[in-house]
Amino acid sequence: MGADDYRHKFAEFLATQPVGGDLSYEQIIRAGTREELGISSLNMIMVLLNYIKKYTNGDITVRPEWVLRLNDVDGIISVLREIDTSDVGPSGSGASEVGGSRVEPALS
Amino acid sequence: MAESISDTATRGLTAEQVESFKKNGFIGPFDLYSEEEAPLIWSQAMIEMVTSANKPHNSTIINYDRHLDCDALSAHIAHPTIVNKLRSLMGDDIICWKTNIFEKQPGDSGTGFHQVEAFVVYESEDVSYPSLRYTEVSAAATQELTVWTAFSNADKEHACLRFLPGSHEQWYYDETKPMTRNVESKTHDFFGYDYSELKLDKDWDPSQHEIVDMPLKAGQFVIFLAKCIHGSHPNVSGDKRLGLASRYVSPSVRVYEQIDRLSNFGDSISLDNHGCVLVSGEDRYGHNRIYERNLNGFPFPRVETDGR
Repeated sequence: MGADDYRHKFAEFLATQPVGGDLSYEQIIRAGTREELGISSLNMIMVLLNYIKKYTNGDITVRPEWVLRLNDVDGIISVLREIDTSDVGPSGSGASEVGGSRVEPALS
Repeated sequence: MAESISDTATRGLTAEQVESFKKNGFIGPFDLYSEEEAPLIWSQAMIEMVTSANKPHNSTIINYDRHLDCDALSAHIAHPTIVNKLRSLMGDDIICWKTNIFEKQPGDSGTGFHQVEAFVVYESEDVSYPSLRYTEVSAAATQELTVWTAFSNADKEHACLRFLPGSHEQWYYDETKPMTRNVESKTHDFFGYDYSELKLDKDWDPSQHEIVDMPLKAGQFVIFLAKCIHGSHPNVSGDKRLGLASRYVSPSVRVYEQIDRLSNFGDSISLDNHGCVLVSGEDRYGHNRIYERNLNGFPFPRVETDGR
């Protein structure tokens, strides 16, 4: 899935969230920063938690280094990609090889 | 005076540092976390703020006491590097009674100079109570200390703290008087209040006093007396400035003795879940509720008498 596809996926998901309910699809697509979306840093972590709940088997926990990337939409999308690629399913080994980089799904 | 000091986790202050503190009312900066580590620790705390099952209160505006439910901050307030320096000034027995998060967004104004000791809380215009009641005279240098840790860079452009050295020796303000709140007014630069309304001598101007800036890198901290007049520069940078103040007293001090709610920033919180944390030594008084674990079960670390 390309960057544009992920932006669309993010826009569609955010529109289902309480903090994104007032945002139009176009607003989300055009936004460059979290601030432009009017979402606080703590609420963006909540959005991430809800994304993990919806799109993974729940083994993934939010990593501190991800939080540092949630201030702009490109960073948010890069985190969503990382979450999607690190979901290995209930019987997985706890890590996956994706795109040449090894991703650990768990954190401290 | 405020030179950078690297120290080990098990060491307290040198005799020279203690003397400097007694003279000035503050000492630092000290290294705690690396510049890379500090934002990650804060990020972990943010995750825990969101996922916490048992919060100390339900306010999203009043940002007090998240060390009571966030493991990263529970560990921070009892960090040996901090606690061993506090022991040099307070003695072995120390409780943490409060934390405040201090954020300054880009463009935010500086915090006006202020001076407190009892952390008076106003119930109404005429009724106020001290958050802290000192029950005995101590032989230690002080019974009250604040540690302000920078979790982002806090240099002059990024709203660093400023101190009036030696100002703890006398009262310049009356913290028992109420203040007016006006978030729109530029003179109300103390979280919506105008602290200069409390000046004992209306003609006294803190800007005419010697002022020491305390620039901190992310991961550094400074120790000071709340009675030492302090404030901050405005944040003229393009980045958010982030600090955490952790506040400590001797167990002989009664905390929130007559207070069961706090109101601030247009919100109010119950103190039903409030407790203190013994970060070093013993509580020989039993004045305050002491938590051994945070509200989510994380055991608070305690510095042993050998400093570890």
